[in-house]
Amino acid sequence: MKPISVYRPSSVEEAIQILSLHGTQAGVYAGGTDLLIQLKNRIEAAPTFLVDIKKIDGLRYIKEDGQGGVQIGALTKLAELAESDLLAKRYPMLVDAVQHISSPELRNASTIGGDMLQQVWCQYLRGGYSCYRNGGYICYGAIGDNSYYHSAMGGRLCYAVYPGDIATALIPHDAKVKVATPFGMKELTIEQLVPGDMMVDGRLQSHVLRFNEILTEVTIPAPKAGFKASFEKLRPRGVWDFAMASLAMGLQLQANTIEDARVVFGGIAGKPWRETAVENFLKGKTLSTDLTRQALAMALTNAAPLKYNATKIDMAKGLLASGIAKLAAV
Amino acid sequence: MSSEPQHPQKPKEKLESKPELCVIVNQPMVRNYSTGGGHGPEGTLVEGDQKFVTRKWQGYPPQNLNLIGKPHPPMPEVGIPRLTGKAEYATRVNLPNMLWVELLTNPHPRARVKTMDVSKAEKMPGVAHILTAQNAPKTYPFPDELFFQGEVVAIVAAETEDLAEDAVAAIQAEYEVLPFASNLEQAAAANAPDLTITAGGRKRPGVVKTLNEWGDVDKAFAEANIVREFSYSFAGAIPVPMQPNGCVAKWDGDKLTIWGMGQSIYNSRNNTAKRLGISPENIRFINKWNGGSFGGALPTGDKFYAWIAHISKVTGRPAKLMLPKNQELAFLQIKPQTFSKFKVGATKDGKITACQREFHVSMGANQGGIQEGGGGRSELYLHVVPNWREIGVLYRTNAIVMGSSRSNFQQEFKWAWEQMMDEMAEAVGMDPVKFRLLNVQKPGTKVALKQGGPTIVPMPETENGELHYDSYASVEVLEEGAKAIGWEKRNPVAGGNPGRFKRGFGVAMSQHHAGRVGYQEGEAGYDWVLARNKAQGNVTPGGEGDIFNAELELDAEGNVVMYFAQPDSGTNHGTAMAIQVGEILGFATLDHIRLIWGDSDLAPSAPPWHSGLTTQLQGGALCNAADKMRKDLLSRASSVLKVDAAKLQIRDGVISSPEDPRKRITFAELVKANKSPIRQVGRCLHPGSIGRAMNRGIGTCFAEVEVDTWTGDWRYVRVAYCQDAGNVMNPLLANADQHGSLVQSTGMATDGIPWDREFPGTFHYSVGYLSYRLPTIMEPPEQTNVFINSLEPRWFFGSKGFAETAIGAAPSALANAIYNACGVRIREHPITKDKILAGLRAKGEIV
Repeated sequence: MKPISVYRPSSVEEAIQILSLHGTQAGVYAGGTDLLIQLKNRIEAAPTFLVDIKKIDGLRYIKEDGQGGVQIGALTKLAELAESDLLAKRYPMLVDAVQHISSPELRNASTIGGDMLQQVWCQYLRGGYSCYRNGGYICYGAIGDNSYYHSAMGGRLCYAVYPGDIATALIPHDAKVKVATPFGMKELTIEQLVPGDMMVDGRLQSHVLRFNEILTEVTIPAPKAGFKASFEKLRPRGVWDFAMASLAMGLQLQANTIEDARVVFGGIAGKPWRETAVENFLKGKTLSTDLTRQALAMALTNAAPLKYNATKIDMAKGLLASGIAKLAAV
Repeated sequence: MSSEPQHPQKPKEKLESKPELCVIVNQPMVRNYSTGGGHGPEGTLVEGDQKFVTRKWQGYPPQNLNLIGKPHPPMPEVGIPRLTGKAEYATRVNLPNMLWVELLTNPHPRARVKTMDVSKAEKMPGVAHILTAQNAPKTYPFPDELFFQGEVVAIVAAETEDLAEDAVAAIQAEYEVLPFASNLEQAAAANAPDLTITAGGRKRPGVVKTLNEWGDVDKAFAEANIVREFSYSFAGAIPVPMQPNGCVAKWDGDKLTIWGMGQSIYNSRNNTAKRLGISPENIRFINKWNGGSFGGALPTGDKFYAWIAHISKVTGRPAKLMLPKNQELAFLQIKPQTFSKFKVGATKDGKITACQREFHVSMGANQGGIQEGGGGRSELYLHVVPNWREIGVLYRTNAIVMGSSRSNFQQEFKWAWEQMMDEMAEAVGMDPVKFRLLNVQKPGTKVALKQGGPTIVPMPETENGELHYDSYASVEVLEEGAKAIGWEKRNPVAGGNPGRFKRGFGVAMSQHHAGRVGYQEGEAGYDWVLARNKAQGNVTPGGEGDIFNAELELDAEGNVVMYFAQPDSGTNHGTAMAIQVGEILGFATLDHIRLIWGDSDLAPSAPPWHSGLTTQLQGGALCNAADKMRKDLLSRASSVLKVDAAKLQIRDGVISSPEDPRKRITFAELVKANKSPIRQVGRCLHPGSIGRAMNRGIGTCFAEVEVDTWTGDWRYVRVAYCQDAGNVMNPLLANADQHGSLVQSTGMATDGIPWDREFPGTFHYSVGYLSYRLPTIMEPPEQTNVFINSLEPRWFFGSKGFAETAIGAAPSALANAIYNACGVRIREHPITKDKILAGLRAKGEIV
């Protein structure tokens, strides 16, 4: 393993100063369930200067914002989200999604911020292959074994899928994130945070954070009356695995009429994939399983599967049918 | 306000182990066994051509038992160190001044090192020694040709694991990449390279073809009412021992101590001595605990002991190798990629009359041996097929070597055979259980040696060239298993249940050699087989003529100390053997039994344990010693008490006369009178064949599954295992073993070798268990285990092995259940959700 240095700043400002000092050689170290594995696996692109933010006070909380919404500190553990009564009451779909992330052991260590900003889990990158994300000029996933963790919706350079479930599940809630930068705080929607496959500071990454920026908080607005949501996920292995396909679906209902809809697929593209064609179709309709057939017909029509992953699209559609069935049954 | 404390202390309950969901079906004590020679008078068996007389149950009938058949937790000396983290796994051995060792491995499927420069690595901080082909011991050189990805190229020893890793990364190696064939497709291609090798002083061809035939197959096909053809492929599977594989070596003068990992003590010691050119007596080999080895780890440690010992010698410091998971995989024996093809003919009432079976196996970097033996057909209960043709093609490939890996040729062959049986049952319009009941052999079936294939050699019991199935509960495992799962709920129409979530049932059988038992010293067959082995030059290192040795010591406190070699791989065989020894010596508890094992300085020699034989063969040696000890103690007591030995009883360390309670003497008193501990040695011989008769392991796995037809997801609803287990020694252990069997075999059903489909010959294991998706604790279903006690007549207390049998059926039972649930037949292993969904879509089933 390459020699590393670990900093333990006591404030976000101090952390940003250190990150700025080392440029792209530095990286934020929170739960460690992604970063430490990268180092152990000798991935070239892994940082050399770790900025351990675990000792920074005030980044680990779940609290009400006073307007019916909730604020979650970036260092909050996934296990804490999964066990939160407040979240279970306000955003049961989010809690359901968190409970389906990885394994209980990893949820005890992983943080909400880390989940949203995690590196992709392409086996070539993680195996140290010199790909776009690791200093090279090739995507092995696009030409290699792309059964599970590669995009079926096309790509640009890197074809690995965005692996996080929390971002997918937050989109139907119109959640936002707060990011500390050297120039103060900024706020982004989830879709702005993880647009997928971006060149930032010379590095290919799924999110837009610069080398010296730190995600500090997730804010979720108050759910409106008549909001229903469902999370579906299919993994190669039943637990401790990433999605082959997942779906976070949120419907704003007035009586039984769909006023607004969010249909977001995970695990099939380089970013959480919003299927606006289906959203638009659902709007104004009466919620029932009668909608399923048409919704499926217009879902993911621009799919571009790779050699081994065409079934992802069928799976995603199966999840959409499942989501509609669940919400119609409630 | 209540005066009760807020957290009232529960009264202390005594923890008692008990088997859950475990059913034991006892067969009648007198059964019409059809041994070679049949039953003799007074509890004897007269066997076969040689007319050897064996005492039934070796004189220890399965009656009036105090220990056997009761649930026993692990013996404290085995279980407590495991639980408290004190067990001395090689992984945990850390010595002062110790060096850490790391490997540089071959990145290509087949290559030769062109140039290598270690000069930069040698100068790196903390590097103590670099071993390469240039400076490896002449008695144990590095491989010249790197035959598979992951083969060792250089070994670096440094102050820390990390520094060794850094030095490995700094070695400059250039490779000449050679033409390779890593899988069956490549090996069978017209332009495949010739992978003939020279091993053991002779040429071993790269492709071996076998043909085995009896009856008139073509005529039988012509006359059959129904003829069908089927093809299946198995993508290979790997065992995954939890403990990293490796060793620690340390020299004290010319005495070497090795802490190893695997399944052998004496084999490993002797192999290492030979490779170092030293006497085996100069090596103390210790391996008491393993975190699983599964047969797959049998050769892994052995490969490295001599090199690590050499490094330790050269540097004058202890050295430790612990293979990381991605490197370990290259040195484990795996289940091979296998392709099977069948043509089957049957009468209209379902009797199979003809079968042609073709199999192709990727043997990996095999050095000969099994590759030339063909194999596996004795694992298929097919000896009743009257017209049979078998074509085998075995390819040496640039891949991980195949071999025993939770058995040999079980899951991979049964994946095909048991699905074929299911498809054939459907073709003749029969229920799969009834179809198997009709076609499986039953006790009394005779097997010609030729029909049994290369794993059957002549035995004393061979009657006119035939062996007979006898204690073989083939009917019971089908019928009782069907009862346990509720087979009557099965919808005979595949995919016939309505709705999104469809349930289905599947069955598969497994037959395996694990039912075999050995010969104990004193039996006529023991001398017969020993003479045969010696004549054939079959003298296994560490166990002359395949002899398992054991020693018992009765100490001054009246404790019985058992000495035996076998390492414990979580198998807990020490407890099972203690139960037998305790039973023979009249104990009602295990409180006075002690175990000493896994150390060549302390335990007598034995071959490695394998094939689920430990309780029978190593246990046989201990039972042999216990039998001698019992007779010896009775004789001593008889002299002291002046009572005929036949009139004395032994209970919990006291020998007494039931007629006169004053006539009693304790074990401890006998030892005191002897002025030193009383010792007995015991021996048991591996039969060197599939067994003394066809008293084979036979079992079934019944699975109920639920398939989500919208997404291809599936889950077990329930599983029932039903095994002919003989008389179960320890139901607690037997039950746990069956749970492990299902979990591991499910993993083998749902994941192949982590090969890269686009870059053949290379595997990616970098993300560990994310690349190889072992089932987790969250996934096993409710499981019922049924044990049929077939009262094996030849062995102590009617016991026989069964664990390795059980592992074979689960993958095909699962495939058959998924077919029954949703109508998708997965002929190409592994079973994955995307294949199920693709199958449903291909049938035109959409949401």
